[in-house]
Amino acid sequence: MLIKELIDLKRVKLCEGFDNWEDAIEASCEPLLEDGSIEKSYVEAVINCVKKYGPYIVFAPNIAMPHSQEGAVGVNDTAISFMKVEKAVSFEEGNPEKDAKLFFVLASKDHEVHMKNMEKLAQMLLTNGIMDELLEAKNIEDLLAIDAKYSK
Amino acid sequence: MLNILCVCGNGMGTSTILKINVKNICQQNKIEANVESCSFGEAMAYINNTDIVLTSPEWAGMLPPSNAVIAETKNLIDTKQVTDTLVNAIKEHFPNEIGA
Repeated sequence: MLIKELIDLKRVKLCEGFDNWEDAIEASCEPLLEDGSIEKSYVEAVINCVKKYGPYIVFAPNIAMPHSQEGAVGVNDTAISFMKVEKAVSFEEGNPEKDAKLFFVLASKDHEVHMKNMEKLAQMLLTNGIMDELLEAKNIEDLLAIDAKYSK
Repeated sequence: MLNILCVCGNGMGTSTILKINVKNICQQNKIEANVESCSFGEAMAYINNTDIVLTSPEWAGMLPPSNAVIAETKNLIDTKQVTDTLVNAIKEHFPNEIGA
């Protein structure tokens, strides 16, 4: 499944917690910054999107999908990265529905490749039980075990 | 045949996930539909040919005026919630398109 693919690509991070959602988004983007898939300007665009439109990137309880637009400035490749945070990140004060622990960063340069990525991501997101298990994962081994379990 | 449009902020993330979910739901519930997705900025171009718009509450209020039925769902991957929202909207506004 997608999780193992992202681990193999070194696009996975596990973190303890953050002081604010901006720091969390920056951290979630780090693997893609490090491998050159995106540049700092894209991270800023993602943060500005949330500032402008609100925390709509938290599209289900505990799950955020930081992204801006396809073909945005600062996007060099089509990719996804994943970050799990132990302590929930608040995107909207007083609204725990907009807390997030699982971050899937999206970057798209090529629409066709992006659609294939989204099919894989959707397949995982729509698998019953897998998100609950990802929330409990403590390390890469846990993530690999979850991926193996649901790949059967 | 229904035209369903999934709308979000940038048309690349949440609306795409919602589109994939809605396509599955239509198949499972024998609803014949064209399912597309776009950003709310692009919605203007499509909305007049759309029967039902599925979106999250953040965007529902920002859509251009149209005759399309607007159905809101808070959790885009809760298949039961999305199914209920969609099926209720179809039953209420397009009863001939379901239950055959």
